Amino acid sequence: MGLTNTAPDLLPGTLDLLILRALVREPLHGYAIVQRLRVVSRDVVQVGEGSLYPALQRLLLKGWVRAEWGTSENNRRARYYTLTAAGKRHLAAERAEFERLVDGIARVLQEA
Amino acid sequence: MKLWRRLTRWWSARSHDAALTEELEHHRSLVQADLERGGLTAHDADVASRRAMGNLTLVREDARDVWVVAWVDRLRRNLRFGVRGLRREPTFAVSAMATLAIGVATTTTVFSVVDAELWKPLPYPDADQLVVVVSRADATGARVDGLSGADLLDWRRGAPAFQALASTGRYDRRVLQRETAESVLVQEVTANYFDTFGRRPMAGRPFTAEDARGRRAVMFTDRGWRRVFGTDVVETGVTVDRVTIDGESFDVAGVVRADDTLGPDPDLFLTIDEGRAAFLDRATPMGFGAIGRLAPGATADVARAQVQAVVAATASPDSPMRQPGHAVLVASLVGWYGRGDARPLYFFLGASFIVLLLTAVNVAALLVGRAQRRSREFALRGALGGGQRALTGQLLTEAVLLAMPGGSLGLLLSVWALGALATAMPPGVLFRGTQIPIDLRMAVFAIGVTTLTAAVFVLMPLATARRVFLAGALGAGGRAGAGVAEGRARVRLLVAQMALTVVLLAGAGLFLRSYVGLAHVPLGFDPSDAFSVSATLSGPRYDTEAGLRDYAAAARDAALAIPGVRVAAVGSSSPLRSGPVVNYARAGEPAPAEGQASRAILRAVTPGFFDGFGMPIVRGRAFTAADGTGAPRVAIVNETLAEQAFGTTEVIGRVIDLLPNARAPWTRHPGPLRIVGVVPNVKEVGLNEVDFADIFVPFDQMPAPWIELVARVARPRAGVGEALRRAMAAIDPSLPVGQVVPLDARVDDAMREDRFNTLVVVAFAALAVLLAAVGVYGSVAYAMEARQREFGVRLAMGATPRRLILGALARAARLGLVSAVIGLACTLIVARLMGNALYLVPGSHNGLLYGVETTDPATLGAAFAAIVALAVAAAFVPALRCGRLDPVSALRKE
Repeated sequence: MGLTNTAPDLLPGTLDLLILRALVREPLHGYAIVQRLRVVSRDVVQVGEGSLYPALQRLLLKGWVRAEWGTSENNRRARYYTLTAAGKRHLAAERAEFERLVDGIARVLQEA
Repeated sequence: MKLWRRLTRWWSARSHDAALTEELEHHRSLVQADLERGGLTAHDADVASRRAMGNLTLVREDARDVWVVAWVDRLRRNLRFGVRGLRREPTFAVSAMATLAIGVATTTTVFSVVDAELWKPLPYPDADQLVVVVSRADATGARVDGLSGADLLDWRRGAPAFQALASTGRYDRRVLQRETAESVLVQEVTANYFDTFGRRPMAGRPFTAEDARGRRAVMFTDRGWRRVFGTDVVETGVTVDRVTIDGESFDVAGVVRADDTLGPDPDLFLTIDEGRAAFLDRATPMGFGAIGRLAPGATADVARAQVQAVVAATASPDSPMRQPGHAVLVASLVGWYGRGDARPLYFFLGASFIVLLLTAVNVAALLVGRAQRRSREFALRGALGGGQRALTGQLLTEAVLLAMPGGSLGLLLSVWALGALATAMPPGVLFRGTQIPIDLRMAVFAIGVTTLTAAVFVLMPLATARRVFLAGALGAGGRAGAGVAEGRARVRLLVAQMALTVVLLAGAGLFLRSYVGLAHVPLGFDPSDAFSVSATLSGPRYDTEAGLRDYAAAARDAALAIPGVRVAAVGSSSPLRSGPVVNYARAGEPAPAEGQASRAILRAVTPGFFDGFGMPIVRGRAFTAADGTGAPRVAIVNETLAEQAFGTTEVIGRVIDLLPNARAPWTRHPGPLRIVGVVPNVKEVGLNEVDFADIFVPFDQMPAPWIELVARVARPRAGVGEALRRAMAAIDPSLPVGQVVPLDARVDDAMREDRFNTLVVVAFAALAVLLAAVGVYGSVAYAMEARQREFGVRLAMGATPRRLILGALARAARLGLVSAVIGLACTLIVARLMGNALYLVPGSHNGLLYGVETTDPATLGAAFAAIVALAVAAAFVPALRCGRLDPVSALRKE
């Protein structure tokens, strides 16, 4: 991972999940994904480029997202990522799993 | 990690990387825009955004690694899967690899040899400038006029298209006098010979212009030096200043590396004295022609025109060069020396390509069979969501897994074979020395062909796999695979394979029959219980004819004195060793034009020669002691000469004229000869040759410096050979004496090339049979296995095992028949295309085939029967196994 890009303290696999979730409503380019995650999480989730782009490549490789070139808001060529059907299925499955996990962690924390 | 770096570098070369770079830059520009909106100047925002983004290269590499890791991962998985699959079927893996290795090794080896022999440029600097200049006497170029020293000097002066023109003189054995007499092979050359070729001495000095006039010098080959002085010249340097050869003293110039490219180098080279009378005499030919190096930019045509002009201006009216039909020929050196019999090489090349084809077919058949066995696996993978691409990748990996070890093994075999060939090839098969480098282009080609075949056939099941998916293969009780298309492909491959094998079998049969025919060819003499030993008389003692006569008489007497020797005689040459050719005419007829005269081998023999060689006298009488110097000049001729000259063998008392002939300078006595006897034809050069015309004259009337002693012995013959040698050596201790050779060994020697050719062709055919047998066996075994269930049912319903076995064999026989018919058709087409290229043709002394037609019914019939038998035999074991099937277990199996 990139040296100057601090990876967010996320559970393994969580970043993929967040990216997929960010793409549910519409195709986004890389910067917009970062913005979307930051805004929605109220600045809690700050994704560095060093984590984002390898993650996007991983998702492409797995066939969960598709990339297409389009024009961005500043009128430049940008790569837009779209959620695929397989991505949607994976998101649904992982999301349920994730909620179970978070629920579990919460229980542990409460009891302690 | 080197592999890793290589992979990443390879990956970065792809457009992929460019896309990532653009994407990241876009990202940064948006960060910058954000910062500018926050109040920074454009420049500050730019700097800040770059700082915020950090190391972009690193980001890019991380993103890229995601892909490379996946790729390497997949490769590793495919390899592991492939290896595991191959280990599960070791028979398949071994036979496929061995087949590949055989194909690659055969083709690469044969092609390397052919290329080295026929097509590679000669190993001299600017070898394309080197040409042979000959004046030929007829249009075919088969006959060549001699070239005199005077002609050579004229050509040098009048043809500026040549940088250099060199020539060679006599090539013979002479005596080098040291403490003992050494017999050395000597080649006379003009002093510029080595310069023309661009050969430099490895020790000592090159020949110079002084060596061409007055001072005569000798250049040893490293081989000759080692033989004579027993030292390595590179270590010791030239340690000898002068040597004495045949009583004449020579300056030792240096030592060159022996080069056998244009025929074996002698032990040493002598310069020709370009000032001596014999050299300048236009009527005395020195050699067959000249070797020239064209000046830069000059073409062979220009050179030819210049030489032709010189000839027109200088040749005397009676010179052969003025005769009609005469023309100057400037040929590339490589073409001229490549004129040796290249037919066997082309034939072997063709056969090796058939073997390559066979291996490809065999590998294909093996792979198709394997794919059928695995169709259930493919179906399962498809059902579980395995994509076509993943499957393709895996199958291709498997193809490479088979091809690489097979190919490498083939290369190793080829390297080994080339080394072995260099030592095992009989002389006369390889013209261009014995060091043959492996031809890597061909190796790549052969491996490429086989890998491609493997790849194509490994992927073939994918096309049909979809159809088999689920429905058939996994369906309850469905039989595994047995895709109809694959079954048909298998049968076709099998037929192609066996048909090709028929072609090679027929070829091998022809060579075998021809060889057997040669072994029974009438020799014209009796080689059993006779020895020969030869010597070349050189030195002042033998400058007179009396000296030659005395030696011959002494040798005869010495041999006859040995107990056990019944007959002993001397000839100037003998059967299967050829001899000098002379021109003759019927007495009383006008002398024919030079180049038109009849030719015959002239042989001077003492009384007893015909007895010694076991040649019967057909008519007239043999020579006696009475046919001496003062007696009337007589001759014995062979049947061919009698027929040629007189149209009959009733020629006793007729007279032929021995024409003065430049080609045989030792024939010092031209003139009329009365025929007193007729002998049958003998083989002169090889066993498969056109009959030669022979003239025998009494040795005393025309003595020659070449002594060939023949001794016929009473059994037992042990020890006689050594006694002969000692007796010969005792006559003149200063003369080296050759090996004592039994005559039957000489006959054996004459068959060596034919034996070699036959051996190679038979080896090819054996390979083909082996490959075809493997193919048939595998195919039938598979078909039986696939039909096990059916057989089980039939057995359960009461069919006898015998019936099943016979049915299977009949199927195999039917396939064999079809293949044999196709194969025979191919053979006939090939035979038609080759015509009589394999036979004795005018101008050649040796045919490849003897006494058998290319369409020989017996040979073709044998090939036909062999392939049907092969099909049935290879099917036998698997068929038998099927007959022993237990119906219950066969039915339960699926």
